[in-house]
Amino acid sequence: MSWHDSQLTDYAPLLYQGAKTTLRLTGLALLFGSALGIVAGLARSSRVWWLRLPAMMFIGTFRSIPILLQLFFAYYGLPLLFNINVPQYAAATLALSVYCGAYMAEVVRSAVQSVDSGQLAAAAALGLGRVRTFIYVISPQALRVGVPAAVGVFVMTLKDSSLASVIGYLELTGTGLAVREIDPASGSFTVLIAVGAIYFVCAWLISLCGQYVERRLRIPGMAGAKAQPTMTAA
Amino acid sequence: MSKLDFGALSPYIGSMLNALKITLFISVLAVLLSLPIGLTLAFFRTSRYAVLRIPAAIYVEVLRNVPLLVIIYILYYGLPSYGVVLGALTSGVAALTLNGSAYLTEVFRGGLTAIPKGQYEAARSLGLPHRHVLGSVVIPQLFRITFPALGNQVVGLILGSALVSVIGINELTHVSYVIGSKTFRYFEVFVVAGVMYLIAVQLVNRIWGIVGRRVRKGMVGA
Repeated sequence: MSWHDSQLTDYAPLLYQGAKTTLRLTGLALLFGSALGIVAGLARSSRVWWLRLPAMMFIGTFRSIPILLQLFFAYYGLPLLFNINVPQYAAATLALSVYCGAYMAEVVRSAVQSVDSGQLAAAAALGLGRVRTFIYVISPQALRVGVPAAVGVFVMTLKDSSLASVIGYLELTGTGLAVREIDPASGSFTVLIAVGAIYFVCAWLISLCGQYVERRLRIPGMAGAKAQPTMTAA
Repeated sequence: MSKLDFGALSPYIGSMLNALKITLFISVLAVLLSLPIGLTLAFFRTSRYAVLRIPAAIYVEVLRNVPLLVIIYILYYGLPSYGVVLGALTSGVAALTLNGSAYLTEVFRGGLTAIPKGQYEAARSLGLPHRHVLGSVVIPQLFRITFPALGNQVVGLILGSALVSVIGINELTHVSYVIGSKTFRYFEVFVVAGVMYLIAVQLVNRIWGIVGRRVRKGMVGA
């Protein structure tokens, strides 16, 4: 087989549309997921048990079930229970946001816990209350520690958005598969590689932005802003 | 709100448990295949020779930044246009292995940098040949250091194995979907499947934690 350049240029506008859809879906999921993750992560780090326990269960459950199953649940299961119709993008946004939120919560928790307990003692000695300690002492340090791991979750969410194609949503992967259907014999490899390359570039750009933010936030002389490797599933 | 009926699933529980076995089988296979590849590539990645280091870096970066789903499609739908036809199971396990080994390479690389340089120097000055330094000094410590992270990767592969359902392998997610479309009890079947995954993953976490405490016992700096 030969490299079908002409075909790829024919498909390029379609893939561009698909990539835009993927980025929109990812962006929404990151927005909702980060908000959810911050709330759940702070609740998880709380010393109040009725905040900590539900957060623990939320994080433990949604990190232990494949995102594909959660997506099926959001698209086929939930609507059936309430006798409503849910469009594909809504189910995909919901499932991705919740999954992203559970992972983000772990990032927030480990970032908050990374702040040295001596800092808390010092804040207390200075007469800062709990809220002020959090705002002025914990959060500025936790933010810096959490950036690399948060970027990992961002990249994971981008990649997991590809699963929306399984419920028939025409984002990048779905578009690639549809294009493949037109000419399965010769076009499959080229199109699928192009799809993979677009994901790679997007993920790489996210990492690049993350490194930029990390550099900008760095305080000269403040060491210890070590990246903690996060597990990024699938 | 329609009525829930978990009882409607009772004839299918057996086939779901069988599917869970296939899920675990695929995951274990992918873990076992990823371990040696990841270990080898971690040594390449930290090698002083660019000819080993650069290809390993490309392998890791590409596979960590492209969705597993796309890798599965490339192997299953894409490769046949080059005359390479892989079965569904082979493609699925191969894709999971490619993905898993890339993440394991990073885990092992992190572990290698955590082993103090003095360990190499001590082993060399005791007269151990290079291969024994690796086998008796470096690799045992590497496994102890990376043990918790390895558990995360095992869980990652169990969760990732759900994706091979898209090419029709009868693992838990695919079988649940089929049962859902047959009985129209999507809600119930996905809840049951979710609980099965949850139990499997939590069991792996617990066992890994217990074994991990033993493995790391007496470790310097643990």
